[in-house]
Amino acid sequence: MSDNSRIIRSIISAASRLSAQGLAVNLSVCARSDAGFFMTAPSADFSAPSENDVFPVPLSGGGAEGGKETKIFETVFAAKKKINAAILASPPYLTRLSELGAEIPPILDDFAQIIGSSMKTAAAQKILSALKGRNGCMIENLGALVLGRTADEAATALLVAEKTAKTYVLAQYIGTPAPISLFETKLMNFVYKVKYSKKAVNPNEK
Amino acid sequence: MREKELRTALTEAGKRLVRENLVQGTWGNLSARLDEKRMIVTPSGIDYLLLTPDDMVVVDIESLEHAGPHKPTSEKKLHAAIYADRREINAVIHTHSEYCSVAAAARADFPSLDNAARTAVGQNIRCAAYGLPGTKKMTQATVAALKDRNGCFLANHGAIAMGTSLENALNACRILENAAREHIEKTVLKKTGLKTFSDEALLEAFFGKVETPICYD
Repeated sequence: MSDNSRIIRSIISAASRLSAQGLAVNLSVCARSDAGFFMTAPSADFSAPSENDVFPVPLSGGGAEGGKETKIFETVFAAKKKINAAILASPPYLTRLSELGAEIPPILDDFAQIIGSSMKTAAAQKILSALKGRNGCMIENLGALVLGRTADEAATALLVAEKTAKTYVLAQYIGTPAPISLFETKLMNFVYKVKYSKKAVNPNEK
Repeated sequence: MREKELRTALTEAGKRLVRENLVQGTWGNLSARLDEKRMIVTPSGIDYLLLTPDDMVVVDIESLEHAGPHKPTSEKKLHAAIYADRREINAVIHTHSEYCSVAAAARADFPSLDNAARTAVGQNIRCAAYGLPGTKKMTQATVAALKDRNGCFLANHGAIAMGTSLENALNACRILENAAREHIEKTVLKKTGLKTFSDEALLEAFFGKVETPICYD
């Protein structure tokens, strides 16, 4: 199997997983390749995605013709060399919190590990600032952007981020959400990156 | 149950946790008591759907020594402490399920609303005091919260449930999650005045509740 075939397969697998969890609203999954990146088409049927739903975007020039999703992915891959996959989606809780301009604190340890110290809301032009030290942010009028070393890791990040967004809302009805300290959040995030680094060396081959 | 059967049972139980959405990714862990001195635990960092019986790790309950190609879960101390403290317990499962996570994030104790919860878990569901996962502090807090209980929430870290068998522990996980969901939904309906609970209705209620952007520093 060629590298590109593996990358496409990883994108399809991540999209299927998110669709099965009901998170395929405005879904766009992409993963880095040698020549640029591959991403899902807006018209894709995510309940049964196929290779025909994934198209290549060259390293330069694609963004000029592509939509806002393409430009966001280009921005991420240009700035974050260790990131090999990114996902945009509009799941209900993250999207509503983004409309509020919210920042989700690290109230769950899996969120702290895979996303980081919080998830901020930013305008599409300012995502790099919101992503500093983090693997996810909310984008005004768009929903959520999550990153990973693999498409599978990015899909997990979206699952955890949406779960944490819902947790954040519900926890306010039963008490006060208690965030993990910044020091421990950074420690968890560091340990997660190191622990899974060997598994993510050749990220799109799973 | 012999070691081979326990390895297979743990593998299957892990896949059931994923199918029932009680864990995401590689988070959470399971174990079963092999004998008085040893337990079998899930390995660290392997996707449940990829796990095989051979991936499971036998760990000494007292020394935490282990053999084989895989590292045991980083929560092995917690599992071992529970087996040492509760001789009748033969299986322990740590999950990151949706509604238990809400209790964990609020660090709140919940009531056991029905007989199923009272029988499987206890009179109420405690939330163990916060401790960094894998540390002595978290282990001690969890063992204390589990006194006379077969399940509890773990502050910012999900939930843990146990039983005299793996099947009982799995059932306790489901009952814990259901008990958390029922209490949360009941509280939300009471506080919002909503007639029925749904994500759409909750978001509308929350959107009205929050007047200014939330910022966290």
